[in-house]
Amino acid sequence: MAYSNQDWVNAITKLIELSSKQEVVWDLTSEYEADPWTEVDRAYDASLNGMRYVVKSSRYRHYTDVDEWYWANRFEFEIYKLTASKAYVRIAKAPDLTTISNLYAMVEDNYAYKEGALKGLLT
Amino acid sequence: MRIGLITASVLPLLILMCGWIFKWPIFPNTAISKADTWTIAGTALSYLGFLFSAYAAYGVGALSRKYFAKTRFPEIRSKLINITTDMAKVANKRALDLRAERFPSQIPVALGEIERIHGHKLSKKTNATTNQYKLFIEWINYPGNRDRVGNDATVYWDLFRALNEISDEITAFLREQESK
Repeated sequence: MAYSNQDWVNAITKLIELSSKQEVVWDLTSEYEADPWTEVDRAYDASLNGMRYVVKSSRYRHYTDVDEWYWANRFEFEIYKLTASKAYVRIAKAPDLTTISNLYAMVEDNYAYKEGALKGLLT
Repeated sequence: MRIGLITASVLPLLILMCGWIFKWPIFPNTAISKADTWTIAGTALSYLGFLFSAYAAYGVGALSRKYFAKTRFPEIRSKLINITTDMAKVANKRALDLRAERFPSQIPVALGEIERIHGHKLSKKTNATTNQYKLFIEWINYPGNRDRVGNDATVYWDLFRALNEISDEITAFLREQESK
């Protein structure tokens, strides 16, 4: 048994819905499993029902030839679970889906609003 | 197309050969002169030439459609991503305020652009999304929904999901084209 892309789309859309209702609050994080082939530019996390959700904006080397490459951007979504030893372990990673970029854009906007990025400039 | 071409080229030649060998009443006289032989051979070769020209024309058309799709799809995908990102950001707005947003008018334009591109299998999905869009427009225009927020409407998220599915299909299509 495995989750289909449709399951992931539905789950991430639900998370967007909950974030939009402010039922899920996101914060900057640097706690995630690192991948030596990927540079993470920014990551946000939120907790809900014992799970920790992480959405990241990353860069990876896209090779066009053996020694020619450029930095390509991608958005990643991962799910972590708290183990008995009080450590978060990654239990799932979403496939490459457009919905993740929607989630990231929304989380980034919500975070800027929460932190009052334009505070003092709008009066 | 290839099977059609092979059938169209081999079958008439086969019938012609059989008629010649088994003396079917295809030819006017049983005795065929050298001049007749050259005429028949010439006709057969002209027919083959016509078939291959038609196939080449079809191939050029297919290539042109393929490169048109390859050029247009990345831009359309960006548009769809912008639309769904907007939808995610303004989901907490009331139906009345959603009417003033840009994305409701951008959706049919993007779907129309996809429909004008040939050589993909997105028609079923775009038709389903057009229906979702109509339901969404009905929802925002229904007077009783004026003060309801997009977040609470199933049609809002159904449309959002449908648009994202099309974006993902386009991504897969472009990857396939890249690897061909």
